[in-house]
Amino acid sequence: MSNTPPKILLIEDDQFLQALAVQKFTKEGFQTLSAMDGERGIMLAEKEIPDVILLDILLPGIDGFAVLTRMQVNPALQSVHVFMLSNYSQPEDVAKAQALGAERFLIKADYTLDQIADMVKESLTVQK
Amino acid sequence: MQVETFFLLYLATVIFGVFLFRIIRQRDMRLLGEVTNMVHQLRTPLAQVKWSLKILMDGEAGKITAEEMELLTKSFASNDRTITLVNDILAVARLESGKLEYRFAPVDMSALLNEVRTSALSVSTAKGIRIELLLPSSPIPLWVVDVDKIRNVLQNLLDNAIKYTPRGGAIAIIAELVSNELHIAIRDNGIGIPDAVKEKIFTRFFRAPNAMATESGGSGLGLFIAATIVQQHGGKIWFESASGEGTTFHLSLPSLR
Repeated sequence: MSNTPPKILLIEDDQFLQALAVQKFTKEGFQTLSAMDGERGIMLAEKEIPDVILLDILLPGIDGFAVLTRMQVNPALQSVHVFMLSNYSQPEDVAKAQALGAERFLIKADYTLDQIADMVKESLTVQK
Repeated sequence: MQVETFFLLYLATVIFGVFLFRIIRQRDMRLLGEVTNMVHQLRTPLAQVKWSLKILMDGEAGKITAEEMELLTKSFASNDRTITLVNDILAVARLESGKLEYRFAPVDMSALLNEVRTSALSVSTAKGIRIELLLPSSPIPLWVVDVDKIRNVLQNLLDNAIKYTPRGGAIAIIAELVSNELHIAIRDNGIGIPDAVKEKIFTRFFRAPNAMATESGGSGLGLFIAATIVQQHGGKIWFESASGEGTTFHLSLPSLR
């Protein structure tokens, strides 16, 4: 990682969870961006080119899978690490997210924000 | 009975059986959909509570007293038990609907056992319980399993061992290659399983009375899920136990290569 703080984009429609994640990642030294729906999320991703995106599946408007699909056709977003962060855990959802380029699939309730932050930091040590 | 009549009766029975099976499957699928939706709805507030409590416990929202810390730690543990229960209910619904898919791939079992041990250390250390990992002298070859499901089985057995072992106890995870099978044992010197309930231990929703007295939370689903997963790997799960002396859960996994 360079001296520039890593940039993280949280695409999450639950205000409470988003506020907690923003607080945590800001404290961990990330430059934190957030969006409450998929359309704004992809627009922000295209404009800011974050290092990592935490992406929910169920979102107002376009869902997390559509965000991944849009990211796939944008060469500028190919090196972004994407963590799916959902409370759905159907095997078909996991497989679909992985096929669309998501690096990891995490169930929100199974992890604390510290654990998620550790996984994100570890992932950023590897060039995508 | 004429052959034609018998044949018609047989055909009608088969058609009725297929029809009945489809109705049951459709009902199961509908039920699975409802359970999945319910689990999703429940996980969101549970995640909110988990994330907030951890921020409070880490003092990130301000200094807390020892008494507050104790309350928060207990609340965090209760919330985690509820998350486990919710996850178990979903797993059972998937198992029973036949919707649980397996992804078999070669796995470094020594690394997996080490990972499971490491992830349990924070809880075991807080209780002063040692966890020893004993691997065979020759390396275990890559073993074909569904890594996520076998990880869940091992975590479940190890969580139980920690839960039902008194402060200062000892747990050992022992892996051995026996003919064409990988044998894993998780041994504790905890409360043990009374003889009277040994037959019921893998039954869903069953909890031994001494387990309930030790730990009020728990769904009684973990061992049922573990047994089903091991069986679906073509393996076996069993235990030896003496009340008050400890329990050893064994599982054997055949080589699926």
